[in-house]
Amino acid sequence: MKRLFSLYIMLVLLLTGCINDFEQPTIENYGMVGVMGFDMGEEEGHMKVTLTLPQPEKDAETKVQKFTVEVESPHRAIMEGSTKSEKLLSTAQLRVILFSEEFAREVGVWEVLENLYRDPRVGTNSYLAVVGGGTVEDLLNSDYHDKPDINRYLNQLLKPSTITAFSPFTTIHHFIRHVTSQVSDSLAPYIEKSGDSIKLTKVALFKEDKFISTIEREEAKIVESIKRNRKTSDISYNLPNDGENEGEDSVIVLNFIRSSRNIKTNGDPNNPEIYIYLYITGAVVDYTGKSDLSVHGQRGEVEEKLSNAIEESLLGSLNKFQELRIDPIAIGDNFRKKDRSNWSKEYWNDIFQRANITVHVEPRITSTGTIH
Amino acid sequence: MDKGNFKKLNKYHVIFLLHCSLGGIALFTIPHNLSHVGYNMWMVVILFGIVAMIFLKPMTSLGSKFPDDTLYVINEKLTGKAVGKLLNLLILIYSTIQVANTSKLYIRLVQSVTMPDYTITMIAITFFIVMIAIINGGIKSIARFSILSFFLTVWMGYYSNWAFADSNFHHLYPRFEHSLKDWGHAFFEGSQIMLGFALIMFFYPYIINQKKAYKHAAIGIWLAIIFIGLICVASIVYFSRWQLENLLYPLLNLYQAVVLSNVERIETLGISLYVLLVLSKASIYLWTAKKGVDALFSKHKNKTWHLYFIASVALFIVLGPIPIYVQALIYDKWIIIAGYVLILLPIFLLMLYKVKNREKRNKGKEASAS
Repeated sequence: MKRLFSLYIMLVLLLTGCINDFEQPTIENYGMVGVMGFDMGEEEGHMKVTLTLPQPEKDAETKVQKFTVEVESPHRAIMEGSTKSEKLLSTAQLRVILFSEEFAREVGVWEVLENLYRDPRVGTNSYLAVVGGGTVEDLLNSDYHDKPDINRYLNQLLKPSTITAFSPFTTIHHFIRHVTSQVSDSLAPYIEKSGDSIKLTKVALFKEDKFISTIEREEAKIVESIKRNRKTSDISYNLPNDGENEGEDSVIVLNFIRSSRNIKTNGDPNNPEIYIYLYITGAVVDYTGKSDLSVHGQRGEVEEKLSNAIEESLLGSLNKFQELRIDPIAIGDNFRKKDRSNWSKEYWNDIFQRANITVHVEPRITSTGTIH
Repeated sequence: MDKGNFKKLNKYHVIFLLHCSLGGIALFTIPHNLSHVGYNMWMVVILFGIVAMIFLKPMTSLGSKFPDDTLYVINEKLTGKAVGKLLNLLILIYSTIQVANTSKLYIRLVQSVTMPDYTITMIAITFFIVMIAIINGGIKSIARFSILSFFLTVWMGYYSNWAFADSNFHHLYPRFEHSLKDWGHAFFEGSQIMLGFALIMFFYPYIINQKKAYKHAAIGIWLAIIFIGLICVASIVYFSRWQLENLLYPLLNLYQAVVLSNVERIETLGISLYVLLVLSKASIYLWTAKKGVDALFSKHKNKTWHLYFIASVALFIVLGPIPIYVQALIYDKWIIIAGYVLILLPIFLLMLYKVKNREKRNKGKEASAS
C-alpha cells in the first residue's frame, strides 16, 4: 500500500511539471494601496484615480507614495500605478475610498464600488467618504504636518468613535446594501480640508448611487439615533427664550447619550401615516440658561424645550428626505410588514413622499454633573 | 481500509458522518442558491430538514432488512446481477462527480480568495492526497475526521455576531410574495446541501447500534440544518436582496464583517478551516465511490488500488479540460437530479423486497401444501 501511495504522489508531482507558472512575488514585492480617490477625468468616460500607499523606502522624503492616473476603471488604476511604482500594487489593504463631490454627483459611485466589491482581495469593511470643497487629488496631495501618513490618518478619521458618532461610517458593504435595498438609501461621511487637517463636516445624502445633498452634523446625530437603538455622540441645542436675559437663547450640551426609538406606521399606501418616537437620556455638561436643573419642575421645562428643539430639527430632516424622495432611515421596513403590494424602492419613495409624519421626542436629563 | 463488514461506527460516528455529509462547500453558497425566494429562504432550510427526515426512514428500513450489506450489494440482491451492476455503475459515476464537484468548488474558492496568484493544480493535488490519507483508515477514520472537523470549525459560528450586530431583523418577517416556480427553483438549487444524507445507505452495515440508526442520523441531520439555518439567517439580516442574488460566496462576506483588533481578514482563516468540512464530505463520497469500484471490479472485495484509481479519475475531472457549459450542466443540474433519484431508490427497493418476499412466501406455502 505504501508503494502505491508513494507512486501516486510521484505521479501527481510529475504532472505538476506541466504547469506553466512564473515566479510568484513575495510580500516584500507588494505595494499595499491604502487609499483610492476618484475625481472626474478629463476625457469622457475616464476617471482620475489617486492612489496612496506606505513608503517602502526608509530614506525617502515622504512617508507615503502617491500616484495619479487617468483610467476607465479602478483596477486599471492599480495596473497603471504598478508601472510607476517599484512595487506591484495590490488592493488587499485598501482601507479608504474617496469620491469628489463632483464625481459622486455627476458620475455616481456604483460602477467603482461594484468593481471593488467584485475583487475578493478588497475588504468590504473599507470606508468610503465624499470629499467637498475641492478634488480628492488635492486633498491627498496636501501636506498635513503632524499627520505624515495619510493612509493611517484617513482610516482613523473614518473609523467609528464616540465623538464622531453622527457619521454613518459607511463601508463598501453598507453602501451597496442600501443602494440595492428595496427600502433605504445610503449616507456617507462628507469630509473637507480644513487648514492642516481633514475634517468630518457633514453627512452626504445619496439617491441611488448619486450624491444629491448634505445634512448638518446635529441633524445627522438624531438621524443616526433613529436608525437604530444606540449610543450616540454628545448633542448640543439652542433653547429659544431660555437665556438669562429676556428673548435670549440658551445652549445645552448633553453627553453619554443613549437613545431608543420606536417607529410605527399604518401600512396604508393611500393615506400613509408614520409615527416616530425617540427617547434619549443623557447628562448635562454645558447649560447657559436660567433654569435650576436640580429643581424637578424647572428641569422638566428644560426637557420640554429640548424636546421641541429636537422634534423641529428631526422633522426638518425628514421633510427634506421626503422632498428628495429618499429614505436613509429605512422607515419603509416598518411599512412593508403591513403592505403586501409588489414592493419596489420607487413604490416606497412615492408613499414616503406623501406620508404624514408625526414625531415625538422625549429627552431625559439623568444627571447635572457635580453641581446644580 | 475496511476489511469485512464488521460493525465499527458508534452513535457519535453516525451523528457526525451525517452532519458532515450535509453542508460542505455548499455552506459558502447556500444563501445565494436559495436567493430565488429572497428573505424567505430560512423556510426552505427547514423544509430541507423535513424532507431529509421523511426520506431517511425508507433508507434505514432498507438497511434493517439487509443489516450487513451496503446499497451496492442490496441492488444486486434485489434487482439481479445485470440491473444491479448498472445501478451500481450509475451510483459510482454520481459519487465520483460529487467528489469532483465538492473539491472543485472549494479549490476554486481557495484559488480566487486566498491564493489568487496560483493555479489550482497544486492545491487540487494536495487536497486529494489528504483525502486519500483519511480514507485509507476506512469509514471509521472518516467518521473520526468528521468529528474533528465539527469541533474545529463550530466555533467560527461565533463570528456571525458581527453580522447580527449590524443587521435588519425586519428581513426575517415572512412574506410569501414569490411564485411556486421561485420556491421550486430555490429548493432545487439548494438541494445540494441536503442530498448527502443518502450516503447512510453505504455505511449502514458498519453501524453498531442499527436499531437507533434513524435517531442518530436524525440528530446529525438537524445539527447540520441548525448551522445551515444560522448562516442563512445571518445572511438574511445582513444582506440586501441584490447581494444575496449576486454574491457567490455570502459566507465569505459575512466573515468580512468581523472586526478584531489583532486579526484582519478573518475570512481567510474561515476558508482555511472549512477545508476540514469539505474534506469530510468529499471523503465520504470518495469512500462510497471506492466501494462502488470494489462492487463492480472485484466482487465487493476490498482493493486499495481502487481508491487511487477513483481518486485519480475525480482529480482528472477537477483539472481536466471540460467545457464550462458541460460542467454547468453536470454540476448544477444532472448531479442534483441524480441525487434525488438516489434518495428515491430505497423506496423502489423496499417495494421490490416486499414483492419478492411475498413471492417467496407463496412459493413456500405452495411447496408445503404439495
